[in-house]
Amino acid sequence: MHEMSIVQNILDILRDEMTNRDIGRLKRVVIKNGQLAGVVTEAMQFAWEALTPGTSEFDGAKLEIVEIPLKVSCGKCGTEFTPDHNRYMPCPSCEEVLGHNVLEGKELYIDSIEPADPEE
Amino acid sequence: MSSEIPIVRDVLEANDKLAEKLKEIYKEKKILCLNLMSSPGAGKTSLLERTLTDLRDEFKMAVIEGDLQTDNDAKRVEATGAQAVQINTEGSCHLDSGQILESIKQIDLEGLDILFVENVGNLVCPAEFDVGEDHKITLLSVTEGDDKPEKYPFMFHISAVMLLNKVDLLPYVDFDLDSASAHARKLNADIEVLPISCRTGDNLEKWYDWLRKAREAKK
Repeated sequence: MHEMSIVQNILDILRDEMTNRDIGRLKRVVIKNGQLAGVVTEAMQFAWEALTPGTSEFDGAKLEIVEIPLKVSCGKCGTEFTPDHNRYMPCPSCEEVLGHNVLEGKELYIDSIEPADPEE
Repeated sequence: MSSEIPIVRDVLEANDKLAEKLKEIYKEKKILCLNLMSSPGAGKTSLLERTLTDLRDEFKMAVIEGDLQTDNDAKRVEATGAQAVQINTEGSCHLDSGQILESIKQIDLEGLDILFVENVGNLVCPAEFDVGEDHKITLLSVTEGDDKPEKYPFMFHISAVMLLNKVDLLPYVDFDLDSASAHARKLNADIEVLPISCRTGDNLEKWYDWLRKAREAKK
């Protein structure tokens, strides 16, 4: 789902951060990608490989995408758990299946960057 | 030696910032904004035609329409007497806040009670892009299968209301209202589920009651 324009957004934010911190080139970028939001990791990698070669800031930089699984708190008893799948999510404590609150799994953010070594 | 620098910035922050601008405009003018979403053909425009007609003496309403091509929907809305602006995305499968910020310039916002954004028909992408709305309203018609909230969990997780449309067709399809309702509630305890028929008018009054309460809360 629009992974190409999502990676464009990532590059814009990275350029902004690099300007503020006086960084010329990156070695590594870590993205956190929540399971629920529907952005496909492989497609982001593909877009990154299409958009970064030849750029002074990102050529050769590695994109590391950490997938964050869905984590919820039970709608009835508050127990926090990670369901095996979205289809059927019984609470391990009270077996309630409805009304859970999403704690993790919706994220899509740039977590950290690693500047390239000066000699590289 | 690791020189990892924490950043922690949302990838979609650009759209979120524009959505905040829209929220400020709506807050200042006390306008209720609703983002109407569904797959193509579920009945968004029909819902608007009914709502804009039945409640025309109660509320001043306007619509921003989103479609790849044509102004068919804007014309249908205008026929009810309400203001409508058509966005043609040409290929983009969702509306974003930048497009809405441009479009509201064409709408007279003074005294407006409710602004509907009728999104592009799509159960995937519009969920990611806020348009400054107070609530997301998702339609699902009974011809689409009752497991759709399970197949598109994010869309239904973020919606305030699920309207189950075309209930007049229930005798002809295998659609379990309770099942669809349960799927939506898995990750959304408070979602309001309303079975309706835009064609026959069945249960629309419950939708109007929800609208009245939501509008009142924004005043």
